[in-house]
Amino acid sequence: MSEEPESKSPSSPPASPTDPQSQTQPATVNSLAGKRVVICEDEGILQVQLKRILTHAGLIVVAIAGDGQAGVEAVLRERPDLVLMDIKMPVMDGLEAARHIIAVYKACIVMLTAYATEEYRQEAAELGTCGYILKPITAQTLMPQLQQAFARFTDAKDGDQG
Amino acid sequence: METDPARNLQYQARRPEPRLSESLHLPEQQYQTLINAIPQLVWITTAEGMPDYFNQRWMDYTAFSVTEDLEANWAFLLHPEDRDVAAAAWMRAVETGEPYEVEYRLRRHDGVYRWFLVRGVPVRDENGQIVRWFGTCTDIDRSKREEEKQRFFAHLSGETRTLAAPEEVMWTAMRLLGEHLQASRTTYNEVDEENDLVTAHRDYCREGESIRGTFPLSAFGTALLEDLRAGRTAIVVDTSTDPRTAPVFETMYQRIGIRSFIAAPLIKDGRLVTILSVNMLGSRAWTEAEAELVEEVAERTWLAVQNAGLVQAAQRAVEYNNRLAAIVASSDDGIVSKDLHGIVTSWNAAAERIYGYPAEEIIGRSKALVIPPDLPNELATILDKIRSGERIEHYDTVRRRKDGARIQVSISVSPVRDAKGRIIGAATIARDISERKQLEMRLSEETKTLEIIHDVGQRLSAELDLEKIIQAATDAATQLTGAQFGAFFYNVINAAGEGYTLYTLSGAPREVFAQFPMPRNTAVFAPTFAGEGTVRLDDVTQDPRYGKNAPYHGEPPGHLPVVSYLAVPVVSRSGEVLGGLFFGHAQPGMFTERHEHIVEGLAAQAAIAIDNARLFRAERERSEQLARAVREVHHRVKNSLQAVSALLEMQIMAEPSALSVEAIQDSLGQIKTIALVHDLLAHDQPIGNVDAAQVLTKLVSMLSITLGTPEKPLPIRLEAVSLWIPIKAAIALALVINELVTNAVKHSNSPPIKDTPHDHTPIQISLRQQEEYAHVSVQDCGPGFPPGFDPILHAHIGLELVQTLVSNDLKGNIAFNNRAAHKETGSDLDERGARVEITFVPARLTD
Repeated sequence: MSEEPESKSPSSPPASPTDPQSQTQPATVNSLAGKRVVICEDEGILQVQLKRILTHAGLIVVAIAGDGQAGVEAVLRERPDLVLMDIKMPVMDGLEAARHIIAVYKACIVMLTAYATEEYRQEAAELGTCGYILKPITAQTLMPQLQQAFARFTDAKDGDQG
Repeated sequence: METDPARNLQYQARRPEPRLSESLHLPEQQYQTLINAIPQLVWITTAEGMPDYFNQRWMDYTAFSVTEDLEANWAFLLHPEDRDVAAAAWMRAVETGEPYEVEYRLRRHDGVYRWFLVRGVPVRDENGQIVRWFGTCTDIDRSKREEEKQRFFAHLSGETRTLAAPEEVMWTAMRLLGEHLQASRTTYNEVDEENDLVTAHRDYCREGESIRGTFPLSAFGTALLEDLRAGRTAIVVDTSTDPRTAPVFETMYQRIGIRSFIAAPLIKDGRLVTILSVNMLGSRAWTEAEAELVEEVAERTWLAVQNAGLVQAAQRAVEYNNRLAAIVASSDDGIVSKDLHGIVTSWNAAAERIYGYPAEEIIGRSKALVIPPDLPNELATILDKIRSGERIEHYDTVRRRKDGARIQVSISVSPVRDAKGRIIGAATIARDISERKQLEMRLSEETKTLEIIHDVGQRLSAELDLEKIIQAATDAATQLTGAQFGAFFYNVINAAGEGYTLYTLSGAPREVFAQFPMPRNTAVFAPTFAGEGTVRLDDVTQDPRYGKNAPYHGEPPGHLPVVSYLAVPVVSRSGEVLGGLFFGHAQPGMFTERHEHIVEGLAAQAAIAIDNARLFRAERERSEQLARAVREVHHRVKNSLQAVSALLEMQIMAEPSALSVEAIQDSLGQIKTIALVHDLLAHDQPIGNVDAAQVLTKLVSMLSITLGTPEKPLPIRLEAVSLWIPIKAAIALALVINELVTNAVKHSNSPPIKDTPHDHTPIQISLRQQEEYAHVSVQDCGPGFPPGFDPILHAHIGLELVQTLVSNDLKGNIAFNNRAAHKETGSDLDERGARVEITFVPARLTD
């Protein structure tokens, strides 16, 4: 079974002119293309899925970590633009890992979780993460959310600099 | 009725035929002189008994003269009651010629009868013929009346002597007097001079109406009252004519029908005390003797009444004393009398019981004997109060028994006075209230105990914290038993297998115990921890079970000194001995049966509370476990759905225009693979590890059907050892095997060879374990991997998934080989096919 992500990617999202989502998507897809990303996710299947979606959208997956500890090490080593961070992971959970990362490195961390609890969402926001995406994920819903998160991250960063 | 013949006697003295002087041969003159000189009444009759001569005295006395008529009528001079006797005696004398002697009453000229002794002797002539009877009447009235009076008084005193009530004495005396005097009425009047009143309680009333009642003294009339007050007896023959009574006659005497009376006053100590009156409806000529009799009856009756009163009072006093004595003797209270010096004068049976001294031992000795030495002033204080006439009522104090025991008493002390009202001593009533006091004390103690038990009971039932329950029970029991210290030891043998675990302590700091070994399974403690029952020892050091064990043979040096010992097992409903409550005191005999019961009750309550707390804790753990399991399952399901979602999403990404049937079948296979692990979980256990061998067995049977047909399933050989791994790993492993087997069938290009021997199944799976490693292999009989096969470069979605799952979820390695490398078997069939080998360490897997 072979794959052709590059050839498929421009036309892969449904591009109906009447679809309001489709009007914003091309611009935002482009805005994340080439960004370096680290995936922190303990489920193998989801690692594969995320890697495929992100790669397909033009991002460069520089590392995949199966637990929070490994995630922190990978992020600090790779210094990516974007971090996708699962919450429930062995060794160290995602929130803890995010705290470690933000303490030393300002990255756009997007939490990725099956937990819709308000406390987690609150804690994630207070930590300074940029997004909170609920599982299960699909390519169609993931990418716009990532773009919004990254836009927020960029705005905040610009604000700091200004 | 005819008038008294005697009264109308009209006679002329008849001269006797032969003159008496002749008969006596005396000159007439001399004879007359002689006869008249005789101091008696003299009479002379004829030989036939006819009256012949009466001397002057006789005629003076009777006012009769000797006439013819006298012969027929003289007998009427005799008292009617005496006539028959006298006549009979006279006739006999005349017939026989024997001397005649008789006593009769002869009527005097004034109508009064007087007693005479009458004698007659015959006078004979020379031939012995009776010619005359010569007789004399000697006045014996005085002695006769005296005799009569004596007889009356003898009768009177005989009748009244036995009478106790003064009223009865009065009445009887009046009745006898009245009968004796043939009076209409006799009245015994008591005089109240102060109020000028006179009272007749009960009069004897033969005729007329009773005049009993109270009336003023003045009713007698002033003149009469003067006589009475002067002690003079009033004799009134006719109230209507007597100058003393005539003025009041109209007003009173007539109204009450008194025409004549004798009223005899009695003066005692200068005061008029009684008036005895005897009266008649008609007039009556009272004799002096009668008046004297009345006077004497008055005196005697008064005395008898006084005596009866005294006797009655004395009898009452005796009865009262007897009753009092009986009460004193039978009283439950100690009744003691003492003089003003505190010397005991009487001592009843109850006092003997209360104080322990017999009466004979203490009478004559000081009451101070029973007063404890620590109350030295008490007797003097009490006696001072008594001397001043005070009473002491219900005073609670302490006394000392003969045996030295102290007793609680409640005493009341009253002054005792003599007849003149002088205080001569004290009477004490004492009640032993030791029992009551003890009862009060026990009651208040009991109440306190109940309060504590109630309190601790509530605390125990509300408490679910084991340590707090045991502490509360230990504290309460220590307080209730008065133990110096109490402890609860849990029935858990320490690591050394001999000591019990100290759990709580009361009454002593924990450090005191910390430096001593825990109680061991020795003879003293064993019964408690075996739940055999309570052990209560007055002195544990004297118990044969004590001190039998090395190294200390008793208490370890410096141990809290335990002499009194109480140990109660705490036994759960199930019969399990949870532990024991132990109490100690340095003094012997401090624990009683009651303490034992209290602690047993507390132990039972504590056991229930401990049971409840344990149940609560177990229940809480169970429900937490359940909640965890539910969360776990929820998480697992969610993860699995995410996995399914991700797998489908990837298929869609791979074939965005339209999913092929093959792609859908691939996805279905993956979903079923995940589902079968869930299936296993549902049947076996919700959380935790699953047996990889079971997972693979199920997977293989599923694959052999989906990859073959239901009629002709694909033969797949599975050799697997039991290997328990986390669910996440199990799902990953199942997906890997599913992927590998599906790929093998797809890429072998040769459908299962028919007629191949059984042991030559096209697909073979094995799961082995070698030390910490698990080895899983899948091999087929296909063409094998193409030369230069690179799993990374050739990573289609399935293979990429397999590699990620092995490295990430199983933290293992995967190797792709062709079986050509294992050519040494020499078999052509064996040489063909691909072989994938996975190695992981189960111990490193986490859920």
